[in-house]
Amino acid sequence: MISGLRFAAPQSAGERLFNSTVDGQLKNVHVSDGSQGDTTDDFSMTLSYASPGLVSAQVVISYPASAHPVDYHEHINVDLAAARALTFENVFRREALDSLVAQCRPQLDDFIGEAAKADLSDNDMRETILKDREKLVRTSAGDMTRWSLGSRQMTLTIDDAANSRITSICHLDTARLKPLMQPGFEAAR
Amino acid sequence: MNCQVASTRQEKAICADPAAKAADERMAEAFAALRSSIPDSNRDALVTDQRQWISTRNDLCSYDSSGQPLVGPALSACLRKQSDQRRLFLSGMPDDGPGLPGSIRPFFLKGKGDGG
Repeated sequence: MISGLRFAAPQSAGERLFNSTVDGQLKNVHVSDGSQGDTTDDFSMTLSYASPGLVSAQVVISYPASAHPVDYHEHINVDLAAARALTFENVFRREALDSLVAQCRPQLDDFIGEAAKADLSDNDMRETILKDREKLVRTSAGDMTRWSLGSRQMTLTIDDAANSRITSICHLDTARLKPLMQPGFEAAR
Repeated sequence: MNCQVASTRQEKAICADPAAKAADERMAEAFAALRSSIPDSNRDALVTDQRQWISTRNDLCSYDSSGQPLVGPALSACLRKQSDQRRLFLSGMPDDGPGLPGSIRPFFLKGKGDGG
């Protein structure tokens, strides 16, 4: 089943950009043609934040026909006034990445912390796996398609669907992130 | 929801808790408003999606993170949260921010082989 959100009658370039980004995500989704055993992938959306200046939405795609169904998360963050998809550099200062990863680390214990170490029983592979996960956390933190934005909270979603099938989530208070944000960026506008 | 015929644990919990019942009623109003405003051709997909949401809600509000069945206030809180999130989706409103009332609306697509 596919359900999502879009501007019903887009008026501006920013609104059209949001809709075309949603359409782009839909291209990754299989729709059943009615043949036996053929099912439509699941596609759902949540609107995290919306104002005349900014829309932030989460897309979740899952493949129910797979033997190992996993959810893939994507975030759409559109600056409606500038009609642009927000990049890390639009939102955060360049030097913010280290701090974001450090602030998220306590919430990612199951993925990259002591709990993850204890959970990984294969001693030979443990260090490699943890190193790869560290890299994934850093890559994700620097990618705005992994973030949902809001006036109260910003959320980083780390999908390790291809390997561990773990999805890790880190919530950070927007107010505490202000010093890391670009001077011109306002989450609530 | 007709509480006289509530059958699942979740439905009974909604009917027993005024706040959960109120959240469910607000969600139902948003559903009715959307249903009446979309073309006939989309209503079938909306109903299928709503059935799927109820099934997902029941799954999410069955057990806590330690595998114990959700009961009492924890079950009611879970159901309230799910109803509130569904209401926001159906009305095209965000979790946070002033929203863009009337501008963003849900859409539904159903494949030929999908049940419901």
